[in-house]
Amino acid sequence: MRHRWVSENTALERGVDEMKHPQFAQLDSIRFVSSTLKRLNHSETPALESLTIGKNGIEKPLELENPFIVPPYITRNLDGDLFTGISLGSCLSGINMNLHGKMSKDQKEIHKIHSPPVLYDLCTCRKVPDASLLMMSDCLWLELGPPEGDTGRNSSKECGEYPELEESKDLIHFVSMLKETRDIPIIISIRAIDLVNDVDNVLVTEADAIHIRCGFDDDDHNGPSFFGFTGEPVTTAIQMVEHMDIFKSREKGVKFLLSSPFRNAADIIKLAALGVDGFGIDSLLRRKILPNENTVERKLDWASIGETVQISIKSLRDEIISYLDTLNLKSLEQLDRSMLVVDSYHTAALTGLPLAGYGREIPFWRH
Amino acid sequence: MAQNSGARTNIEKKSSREINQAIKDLLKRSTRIRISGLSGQDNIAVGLKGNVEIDINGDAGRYLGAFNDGPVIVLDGNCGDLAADNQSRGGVIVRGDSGKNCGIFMLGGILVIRGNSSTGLGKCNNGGTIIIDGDVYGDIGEDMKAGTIIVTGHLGGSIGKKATGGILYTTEEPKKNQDDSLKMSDLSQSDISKLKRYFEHYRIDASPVGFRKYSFGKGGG
Repeated sequence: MRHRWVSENTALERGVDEMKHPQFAQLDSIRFVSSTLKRLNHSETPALESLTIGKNGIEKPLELENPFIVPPYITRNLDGDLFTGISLGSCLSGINMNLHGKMSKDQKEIHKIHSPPVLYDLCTCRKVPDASLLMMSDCLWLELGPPEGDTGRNSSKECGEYPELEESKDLIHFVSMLKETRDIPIIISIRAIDLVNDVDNVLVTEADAIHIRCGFDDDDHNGPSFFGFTGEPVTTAIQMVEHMDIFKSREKGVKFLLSSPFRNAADIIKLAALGVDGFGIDSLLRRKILPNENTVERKLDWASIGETVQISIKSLRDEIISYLDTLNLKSLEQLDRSMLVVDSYHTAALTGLPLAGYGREIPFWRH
Repeated sequence: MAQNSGARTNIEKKSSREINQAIKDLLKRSTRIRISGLSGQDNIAVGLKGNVEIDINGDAGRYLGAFNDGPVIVLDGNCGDLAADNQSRGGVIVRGDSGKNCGIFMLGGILVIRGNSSTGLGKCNNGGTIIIDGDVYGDIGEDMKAGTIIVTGHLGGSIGKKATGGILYTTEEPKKNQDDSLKMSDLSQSDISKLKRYFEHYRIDASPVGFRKYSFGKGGG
């Protein structure tokens, strides 16, 4: 397992074309500084830490066994509609689904077969949380985006389809009301493109985690597209986030989650070093659940999907551990921005990372 | 003993969180509680369950009785926006005026405003009953799917825009929608008795005489 560099044939199974997609150019130019790569004698195998979402004082935080999350919109295209109240938690036993009201026989079956060690009910809402779902959920996922039928590119209303949210600042009151109603972790999901406008409002809410979706084709408004990816480069989201002082919020216990079509464990490791706490493995699951467009119409075999996903998550986990081992690190938490350098001016300007050989942050990048 | 007389507390200058905690504590001792001194705090009595009665004195901010699931919340004062948001059972009775977007996403229960209300009333209502004993300054029943809205005063804006179901009882002729989804009819005997029952129960000084029934969408209510 040691000294194994991640090849193109990874758990995420990216094709060569996708591996070289321009949106990853900035990630490719990020390198670990040579001092980090010096191996020391150690016997401990690195471990992937769990991800806890929920600020201090919360009654029941969300504890995921892996730092992977499965955003609820992953299931939206399965029947063309968003499953309300879907519960997806990622853990070693694979994907956990618990659909309230809409759980089909097959889905109940997978639930039974892959009885997960950690199960969380995730109340999802793009429009408004259903009262009964909110009361029985362990976590609330608020997905912000442009209103239905609106590309949002020219829209002034970034807060999606929540009628309560006529203005961005209404989000603060809305989240505060939901927190008063039930003291459960609240995750706000926001498009990277909306960060500039909305992040100030998102940060002052009582949300426990902020999930940023980037790099996907988000035009169809049924969630990011299953196939192909466009949009903002991954590091642009990171750069914007840093600008918006999200890291100050992280000190208060707010977790920063990112969904992006990651190619391999190296991408995940670099983003973890940039400050990402949890990773949306939408891309991986899409490939496993719906390998091509024809599958959308097909009846899905949930039992076999569950097994495949379980294997994939384990494989991805092993890959990350292997990578951490090569870096002589014990966990993702030990990763730090100071371990990174970049080899292009453009990426240095975007991320604020020092340019390799230059020795410090380039002086003009903030201007 | 406490059950009959009800538990009381004064919550002047307390935060929403403290007030809600006080309400929960009082509800452990009594099924009828009374709090006084509310001064515009948001999110009061949200997400409560059970057959209890909560009397509140003072003015409430946003989201009074949101996600209400059983309790009857009586506010002796005015309330802000979004009262009874997402209410599924029980009732919110406001003896005063209300802000905008009240009674949105109601799944059941009743919202009574004994004063004027603002725009966005009953938006996306999905089965709740809303009674406004006063005027409504703005749109009513937008995107409504089911439920009943009764307005004893004037109507100020559009009625039932994009609505697919639900009923409006009013004395005033509403403005026509662009999609012309409003269907007017005279009151049946059951409508009259329903209105009478509501007016008597909530002590509203009105009579079903002169009221007309407007059904939204193709099938109406």
